[in-house]
Amino acid sequence: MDRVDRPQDIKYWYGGIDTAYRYTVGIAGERFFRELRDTGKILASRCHRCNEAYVPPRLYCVKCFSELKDYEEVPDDGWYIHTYSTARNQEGQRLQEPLIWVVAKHRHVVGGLVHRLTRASPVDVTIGMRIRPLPKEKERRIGSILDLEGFVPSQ
Amino acid sequence: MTGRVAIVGVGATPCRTITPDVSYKEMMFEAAQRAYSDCGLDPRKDVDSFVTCAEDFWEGTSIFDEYVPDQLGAVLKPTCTIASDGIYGVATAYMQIAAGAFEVVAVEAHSKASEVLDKAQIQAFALDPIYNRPIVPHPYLLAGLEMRAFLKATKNTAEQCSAVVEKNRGNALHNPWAARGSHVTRESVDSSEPLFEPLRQLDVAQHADSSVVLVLASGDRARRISDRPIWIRGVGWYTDDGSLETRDWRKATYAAMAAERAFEMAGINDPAASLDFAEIDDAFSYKELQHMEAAGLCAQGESGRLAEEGATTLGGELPVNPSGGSIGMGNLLEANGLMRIAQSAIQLRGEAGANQITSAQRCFALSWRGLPTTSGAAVVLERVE
Ligand SMILES: [Zn+2]
Repeated sequence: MDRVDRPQDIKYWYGGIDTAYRYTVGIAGERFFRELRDTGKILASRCHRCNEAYVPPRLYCVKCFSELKDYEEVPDDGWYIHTYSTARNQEGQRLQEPLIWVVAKHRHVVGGLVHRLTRASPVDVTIGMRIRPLPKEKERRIGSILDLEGFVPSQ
Repeated sequence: MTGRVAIVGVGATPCRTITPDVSYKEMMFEAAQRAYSDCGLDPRKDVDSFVTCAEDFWEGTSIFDEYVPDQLGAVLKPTCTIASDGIYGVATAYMQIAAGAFEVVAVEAHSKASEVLDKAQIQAFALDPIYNRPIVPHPYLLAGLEMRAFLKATKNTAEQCSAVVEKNRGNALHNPWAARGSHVTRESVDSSEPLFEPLRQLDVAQHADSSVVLVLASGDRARRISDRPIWIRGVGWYTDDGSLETRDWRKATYAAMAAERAFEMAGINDPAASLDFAEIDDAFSYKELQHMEAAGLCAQGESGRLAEEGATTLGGELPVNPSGGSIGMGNLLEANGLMRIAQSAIQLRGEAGANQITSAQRCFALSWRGLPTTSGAAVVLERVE
């Protein structure tokens, strides 16, 4: 095919999408976020048939497809770092303190939470390290994943 | 031995970092022309069905399936668009033919990544809006998290990932279809800009534009159309429980299962011994190692050493991504998997030029749908004398 061979002849048209959504947190999500806002606790849903608990809670079991109706508090003890990553720059600026993110898992549940790790230096962080969730003070909690400040080292 | 479904036509536009001289439709038209001409078929008369692979957000057009028939010769013919990687398109075409619904099916996937001005935002928008989007600042964080988990669990190293980049960028230097060929040393990968650590700038397959079209045909038709059909011996595709919280970040279970199914269909028990090469997803350097181990191309924890020692280079025991992979050819969004298959077919036909592997007869191709997914598809391909 004959192609354009003069760069100044190339024409573009610019376009984009400007749209917003409202995402329902759902039946299990409602329980999770109310509990987090009101008590600062992490909630799991439990499948008695498989003896598994899910965080974030789901209305159904991944393994057996049962509908789950029971919720339980996840103890602060038992969280650990499944994996983590750090960034020393943000939007081209070098940070004074590197940022740390973790996939936090818990000994007794399936799943976990992805969040920031604070009050820790990257050199001290390891996979398997024990951590605990740190809720914001109650007045600042609105029923969002940001009601957690993040995780902090257990000790 | 013959089979049920074969690739009889291969066409693609060369990968380029920008393609300002053609629209996406014209790029697809060129790839389609090449593929139909390769097998001597007229799409208006000879092709029964068309499958395209595209994700609306990458296209910049909603309900994109309405925008594919004319440039492929597919108007008012059975056509469907799959919002997934190109190997899913090949699997769909395979099923249409194996079921006896059609004899000749064309599969298309493409990338116009250079015209997607907000690529990271599209991947970020693929995250769970309630639990993840407020926390994850950039999709590459997920690659950093996964790379750390994989390296720690397998005792492979970031330096061994650098060897993958050196190999794939180097292989691409001799592949005229590739956009990202370059002499990149392991040391320069090691010292490239840290992103979300341990991920570094040169671990990332940079994007490119291209359209890929394959023509598949049933056994009898394939033998009439082509004197060098490439037979599809096995296919598999799986999606894990992909939530960031639930997935096991150490391993690519989707790839392990897709490969296992494809190998089982193909009657392959020992992949490493049965294959002449592999074209597998390397959207990030560590993914090539992770996918080698998942597919059973080597033992757990061995992939890094093999890469480091050159066992996966063109002259090695099991060449991996002789085409240069996505790191060397360019990341083609939903077309990565189809390009892996196209390059495999060229290699099996003996048309790979400077990158030709002597008497290559059987290979494996694997795709991953990219961040933030846990989806992948696999095929086993074979040339018969
Ligand atoms: Zn269950």
